Amino acid sequence: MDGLRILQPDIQEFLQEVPDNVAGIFKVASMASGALLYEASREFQKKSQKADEYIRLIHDDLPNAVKQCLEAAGEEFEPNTQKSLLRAASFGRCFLTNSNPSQFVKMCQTLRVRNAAYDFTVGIPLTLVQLNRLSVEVLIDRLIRRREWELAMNISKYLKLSDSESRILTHWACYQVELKKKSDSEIAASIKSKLGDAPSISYSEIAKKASEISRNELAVKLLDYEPRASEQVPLLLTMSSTEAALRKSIESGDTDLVHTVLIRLMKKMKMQDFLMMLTNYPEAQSLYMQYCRQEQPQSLIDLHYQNDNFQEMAGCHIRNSYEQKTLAKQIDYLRSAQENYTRSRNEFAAKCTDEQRKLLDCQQQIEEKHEVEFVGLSVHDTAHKLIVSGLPKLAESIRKDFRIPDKRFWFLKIDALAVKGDWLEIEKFSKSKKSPIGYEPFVHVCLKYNQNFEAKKYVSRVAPEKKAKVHILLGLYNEAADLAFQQKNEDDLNQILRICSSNRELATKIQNMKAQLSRR
Amino acid sequence: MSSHLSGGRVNLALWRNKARSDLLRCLRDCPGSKALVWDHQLTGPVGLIAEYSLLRENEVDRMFPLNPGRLPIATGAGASAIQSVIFLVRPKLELIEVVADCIRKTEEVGSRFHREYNIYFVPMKSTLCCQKLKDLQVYGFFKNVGEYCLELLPLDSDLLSMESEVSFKECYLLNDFTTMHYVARALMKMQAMYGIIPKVYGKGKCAKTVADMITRMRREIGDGQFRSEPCFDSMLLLDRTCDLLTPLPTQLTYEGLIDEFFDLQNGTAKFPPEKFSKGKDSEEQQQQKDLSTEKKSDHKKIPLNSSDELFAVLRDKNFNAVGPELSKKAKTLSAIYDERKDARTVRAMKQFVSKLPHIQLEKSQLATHTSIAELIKEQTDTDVFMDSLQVQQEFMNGIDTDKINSYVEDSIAKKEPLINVLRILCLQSVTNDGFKPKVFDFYRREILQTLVGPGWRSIQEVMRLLPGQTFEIDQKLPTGVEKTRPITQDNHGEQSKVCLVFFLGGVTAAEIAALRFLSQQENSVYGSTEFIVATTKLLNGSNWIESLMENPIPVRDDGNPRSSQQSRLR
Repeated sequence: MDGLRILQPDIQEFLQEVPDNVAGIFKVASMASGALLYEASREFQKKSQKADEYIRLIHDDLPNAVKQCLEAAGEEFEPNTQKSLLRAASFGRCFLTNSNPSQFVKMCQTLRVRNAAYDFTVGIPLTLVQLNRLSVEVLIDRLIRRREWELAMNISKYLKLSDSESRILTHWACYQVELKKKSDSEIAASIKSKLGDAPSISYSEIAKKASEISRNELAVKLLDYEPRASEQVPLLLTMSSTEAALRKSIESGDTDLVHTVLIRLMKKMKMQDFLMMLTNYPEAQSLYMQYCRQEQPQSLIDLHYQNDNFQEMAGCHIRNSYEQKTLAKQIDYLRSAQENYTRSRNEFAAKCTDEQRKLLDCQQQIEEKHEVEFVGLSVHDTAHKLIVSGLPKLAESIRKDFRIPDKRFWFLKIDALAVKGDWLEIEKFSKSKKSPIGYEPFVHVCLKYNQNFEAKKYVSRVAPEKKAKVHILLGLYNEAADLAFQQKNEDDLNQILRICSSNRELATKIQNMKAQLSRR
Repeated sequence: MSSHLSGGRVNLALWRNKARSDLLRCLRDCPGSKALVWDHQLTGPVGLIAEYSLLRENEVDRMFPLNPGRLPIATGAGASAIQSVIFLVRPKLELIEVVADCIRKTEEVGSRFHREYNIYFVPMKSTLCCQKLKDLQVYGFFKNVGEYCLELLPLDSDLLSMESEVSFKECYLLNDFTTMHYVARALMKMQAMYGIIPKVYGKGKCAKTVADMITRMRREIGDGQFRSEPCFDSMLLLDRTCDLLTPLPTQLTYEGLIDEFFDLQNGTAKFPPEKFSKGKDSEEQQQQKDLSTEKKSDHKKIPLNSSDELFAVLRDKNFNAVGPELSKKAKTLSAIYDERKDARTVRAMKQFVSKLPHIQLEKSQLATHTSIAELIKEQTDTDVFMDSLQVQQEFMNGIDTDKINSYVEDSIAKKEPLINVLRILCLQSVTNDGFKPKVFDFYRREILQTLVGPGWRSIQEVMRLLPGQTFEIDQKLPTGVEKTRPITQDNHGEQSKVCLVFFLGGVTAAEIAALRFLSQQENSVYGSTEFIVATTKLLNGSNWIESLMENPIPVRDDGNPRSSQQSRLR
């Protein structure tokens, strides 16, 4: 208990026993060390040497004297008295070697705050004990309630209480919001100019206030300043400013937030309008497409249809076609895909789709006639399988219809014949005309099926620069070395050397060859 | 296990510790004995953060891969004890269906024991997924619906990766920047731990997106969280689209070739086991195996990072230099081993014995890498490899890039794997700045007729990557310089600067090797700068192109729900 307050309608009085420290200093002829220091300080200001005498009198008790003066200052209400006591304390501190200034500084700050609140325009007279008990934060809260934002702000700035700063600003802004006289834009501008980009300001809280008193437009304006999208977007949604919510969520880069908005919008809007709106927000549209691809393929087609994106629609149809169980339906989808490709002027794709359709037709016919499975194979594999199945004429017609290039058809044919084991036919084929793929592949294909004897038939016709390699494959290393030497091909020589390093005779021979080559 | 992370200028072990404690916090929220149900894509990454024994210590008693159907906990031993079932999944809608099915089937059987379900999304909770859980009427089963923010995995002392193969496709083809949001979140976490990065440079659209997001997030969070003294001097954000060429040719560094042939994932590569002496599997590997919940592993898995001193030396070398380096090492080792003959006194003997464990470790490393080098050599010596390399060289020297290439044509005719063909085609296209329509159509047709039967649509997505024709690369993207903070006055003295290079959309081992090479150049024109590399995915040309396909070719049957769809198409 620090005293007794007597409240009357127009005045307030405070009755208090004079605190010990104050009494000790100001009592007449007090010999307390605090009193002596106070006297010393006064003499010092009068530039009298008595100051020195007083200080000597205090002697060892100086720290205590300083403390007394400081605490007495805290008990006083009159700024002048406070000042002279503080001056005394400060004077005393000069004679102390290692005293901590923090207490002194804190007292000065506290007094300044207390005096500011004590001022008659504010009218919150507090004793030091009271203030310490309440804490400055509470004092600030009380000031906020009294709309003394400026003072509250000055105090929190003075004491560097950044948390309080944002609380004060938010409260001030909320009050501004309630001012009916001012226009929305005026308020928003004034709030923005005061609050700026100060960190940890919750614009969304202010906006919520605005929204509560149904000043939605103002709320939207204020939310515009909110940096945290995760705060901003949900509120925008509750105020049904859906497009703003969408825009903000996109800006944040948080795709999850965008999805949150999209889910809400899909429930609220007609599909038609929803899709229409998305065309203005390409980022959101991409995300929605992603979602559709996984969850609602049909909506994806709707979306492409609306965007006149025939290319993508064709893609959807093709995807669908592969999910069909019957061939007829597959072909139907391919046909619609083809139409769409044509509309998107993708001639290449249209043609390919058309060919795929023809291929399926063709395969079906072959299946019916020959009872071998063909549907689903590629053009290449179809021709291959036809040869293996002993239907070379059909293979030939596939080659013509689907314009399989010569080179590839040769590869295909010799491989298919090899699978069939028809080595005679391969030989015949090799002689039918000059091979567009050379004769090396013939050797390869024979070796693939371990037909060394067959392979050797083609060796003589292999192009000179590839002969050495073919001999290596056949295991004829000596000849290979000679051929490589003729071609001056050091790489091939090295390769033979690697394989035959254990054959000393050959190795020496190759080393000699290499030496000769490098000499030239 | 994390010792290799703390070797660099920036201690990435701290990053791993944070990820560990985050994981444990998730586990602690679920009381009692736990069963973990894994999204199989997460076993590798989480395995880098927490080893099996750590999970064990934290009452994880059972682990299952996420599959549709009933969880086998009701019948197994210790069934009564499982109190919490924890799903650890990526926020993917297709996984949600599996989770829902799993819960429903498990609950159908019923149990005398009360079980609580929990789901943690990695790295971020998703509204869509939660919505889907509600639509499927299983949301009510969950006690916790949370997130485990594991974005960037520390793979080595200078390397972090998100190991997200979809990021390139999503960002550059589908316009979905979700992974860039994850990148931004990860960067904010990094800055909270390692201090604000004073300078941010960037190139490309995604780089700008990320830079915008981190500036924005900084404003949202306020400065309170970023009190650490800056460890990084600068950051470079790079779009993969700035350089589409480099990943396409075969990488020729040691680590690059391991990746090309043996699929380096989460810092671990798989090799055919025959080549390796049947040593005891290290304990760590055993745990790894347990964690990935694979029943039987046909491969030998070898973790490859700088904790293996020999690998640290070899990894960035051209493969030609690997052989000499290995034999040099073998000679030094045997020289050290021979010291024992000179050890006459007891003291010298003791000194030798004290070195023994280290010698043995080095010996086993030497054996491992000799085997790996042999395996690689088997492949690099083939004609197929040499021919392909030659064509790559020709293209990169700009020789005949505008014509139909007979090697490519033959590869198609010989039905080489589609990926290989596409890879060389992309290389030709990039070097030629796009194909002429005639050439493009020819290749397209050839591929359609041979390599891709049903499902040929996948090619379109890949072809869109080819510049010129269907995909445009804007090379004039501005270099966004975001000054996030005035340059700090901390005087690093003579120390080199540290730069974080973030490759958005992936980076190859060979590219990292190039940056490490630059790091080692002191007093060069580049100044002395140490690079820390971060990326969305460590990739090579093949798995990069594979990630762009609509239906990725299944490399292995791993219980992925998509594979059932795949087989229907076949």
